[in-house]
Amino acid sequence: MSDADVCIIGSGAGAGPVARQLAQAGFNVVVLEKGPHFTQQDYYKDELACCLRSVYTPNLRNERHVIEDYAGKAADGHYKWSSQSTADSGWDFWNGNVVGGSSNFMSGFFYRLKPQDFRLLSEFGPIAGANLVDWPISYEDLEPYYTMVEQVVGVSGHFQPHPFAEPRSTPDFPYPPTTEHVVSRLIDDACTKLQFHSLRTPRAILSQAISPQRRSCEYSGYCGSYGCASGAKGSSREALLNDAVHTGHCRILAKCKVNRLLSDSSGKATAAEYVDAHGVTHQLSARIFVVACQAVETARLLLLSTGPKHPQGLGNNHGQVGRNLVFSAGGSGYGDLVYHELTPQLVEQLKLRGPFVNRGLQDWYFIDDKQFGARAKGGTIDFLLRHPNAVNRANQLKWDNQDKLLWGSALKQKLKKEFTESLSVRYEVFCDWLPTDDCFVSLDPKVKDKWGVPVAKIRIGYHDHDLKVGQYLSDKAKQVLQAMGTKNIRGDVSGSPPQNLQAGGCRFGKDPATSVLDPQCRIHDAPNVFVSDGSWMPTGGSVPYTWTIYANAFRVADIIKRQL
Amino acid sequence: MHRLLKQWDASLTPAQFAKLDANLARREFLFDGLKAAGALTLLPATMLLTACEEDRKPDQARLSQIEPWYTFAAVQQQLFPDDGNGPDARGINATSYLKFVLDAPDTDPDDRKFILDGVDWLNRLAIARFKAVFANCEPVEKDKLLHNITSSDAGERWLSFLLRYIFEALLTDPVYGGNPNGVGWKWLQHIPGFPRPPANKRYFDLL
Repeated sequence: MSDADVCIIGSGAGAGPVARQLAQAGFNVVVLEKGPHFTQQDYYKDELACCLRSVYTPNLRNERHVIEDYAGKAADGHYKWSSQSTADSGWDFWNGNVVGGSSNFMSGFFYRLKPQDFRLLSEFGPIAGANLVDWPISYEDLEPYYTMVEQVVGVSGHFQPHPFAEPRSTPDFPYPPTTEHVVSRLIDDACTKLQFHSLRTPRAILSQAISPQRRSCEYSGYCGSYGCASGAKGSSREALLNDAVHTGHCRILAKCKVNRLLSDSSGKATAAEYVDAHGVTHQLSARIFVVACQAVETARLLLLSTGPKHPQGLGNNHGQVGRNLVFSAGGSGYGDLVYHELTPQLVEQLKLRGPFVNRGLQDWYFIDDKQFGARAKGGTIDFLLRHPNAVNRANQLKWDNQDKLLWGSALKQKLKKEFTESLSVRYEVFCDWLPTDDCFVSLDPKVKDKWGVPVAKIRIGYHDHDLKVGQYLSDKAKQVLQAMGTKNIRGDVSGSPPQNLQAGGCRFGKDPATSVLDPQCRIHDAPNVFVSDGSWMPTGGSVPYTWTIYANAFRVADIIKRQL
Repeated sequence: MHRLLKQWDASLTPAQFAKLDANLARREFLFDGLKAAGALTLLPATMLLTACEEDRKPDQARLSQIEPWYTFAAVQQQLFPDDGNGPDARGINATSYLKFVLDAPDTDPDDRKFILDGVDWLNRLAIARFKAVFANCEPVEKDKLLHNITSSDAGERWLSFLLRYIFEALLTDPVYGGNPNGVGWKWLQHIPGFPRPPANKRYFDLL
């Protein structure tokens, strides 16, 4: 007899829906999470804890990645790649190693994919160098689960008809929008002038209490990067795992790091081998295993899990595990609302911290502009205020225009001016990170973590088309900032991956030769192993992934329920 | 560049520089041991000049008692002076905060050594140029020395570390011992979030 019906590895957005749905159905579920189990009583608005020390992510000296970055072209025209450990570069690729995963620290910008995102290849045609495919499921397959997320996780918003609006099965969101900052009105006015469609960004943040544990947002103004103290943010922990544990059928084992999945001669997984907080190794058997460690670590775990039928790693008999990793392409920028140019009344309103900006643009989700070229997939622009973290901001101000260190009165004057004389409005562009042969996860042959296990090596090549789309959208965002009257408008579009927006690496499909998972997110040749984080996505869409990961994990839960 | 600064640069390998850069760039350090040790306490008077000592230059015996904090305090005061525009380094407990960081058990030992060694390099340069340790130099001389050391790779990184921890002392929650009564927040009109961390839920209590 197995230790559990279902063993879930990881506890973030891909794990929570599976744990909740199966535990509520009466199955015995065990969640193995590498990080600690913090509750809402442990989350405070503390910049040191959130962002300046390794509290929610591992110390890079103990656990690191190796990044393979572009290093020019060789004489034969091929790209060269240079490897560097993140412990040496400081470029941290961990995202929330705690119960609930990185969903604890998201900003909760929630967008659905659009029907065309499920058939990018047939909709827009091939792009040389990009491994585009259509998905084996359609938007209609996922729509009921998007709706389920709105209700169960809690999404606040207001539906606005829009040329590119995706179909909905309900007329509106279950919770009204969160309270909005005065900047939202300035964005609306600018968009009206420009004839752009300013959209209210849905958020996985409750605008009203739904239980004693999940209260309304408290509008502290510190959301993204911070854990939520009111339960309003729809993290996997708060919105789903707590429900799962409440059934009495789900146990969460924190500080338990799975090093590999064992499998038998038939190819089925038999046990998860994990190390607990005391360094003791255990094996946990289950009927079904669900891997949800976020894209990079999921690929790593599968590659580490060799077995009689999986000599190259679980599900890797066709060499597909780790391939076609995607991030979110795009860029970001700022414009400053300078107080002395504004009325005192408006300045007072601008200084208010707490309400959300909640504005985005999807006018160019599909680009139909001769100046750009052929009709193409575009993306999403989101607007927000500069992140409130003060130490980080001050630290960026210590350099003068010649990149020399500033100190003394000159430094203090600069701090005072930057902090008190303007408000920075930020934009972020989300567009597809095209899957290519130059972005993938493998195991580093030399570097190991503190348990002696090979770490993930991540090649982070991007497609030049991503930059072209990102720049197009960034220029549109700058038009809005200009129309708002902001000054010092600046932006950056690059191929540098945002490490918190990972997907792919175990794409789903019908052909085992070109995909790791079947359309149900089950490993083709390991029928009791599912992957339910964002790894299944063959293409990423042009929005943050979390809502889609949640929705698909609810779908996977239904599939597992039928299989058990 | 002064020969001492060339020597300081030469004392570090490219790999050591790269590691310093990484630690300057990233979210770093675990503070496991502080749970038992408690958080920042102000430096005891024996480790800093007392008010009545400030106008006198300490003799060698007193110097050995108060270094490296005597030099750190003087450098921090030069970096973040009392100029009528907001709090100065002393007003945000910058030296005590730096000691708190350097004492933290999981502070990267290489960073700790680099920061502490910098005091010696700076004072050797100060004596070579102005025949006095940094803290005993005139304000103009101090500024020249700081400009001097930024011409070296090591010196620029050393000052970067000190500035970083001044900003932490200025703008992190007062529960950590800097920013007393939110003086830094008030000066920069920074609105902190809530709930703020209580004394039993500082970040090292969570580890």
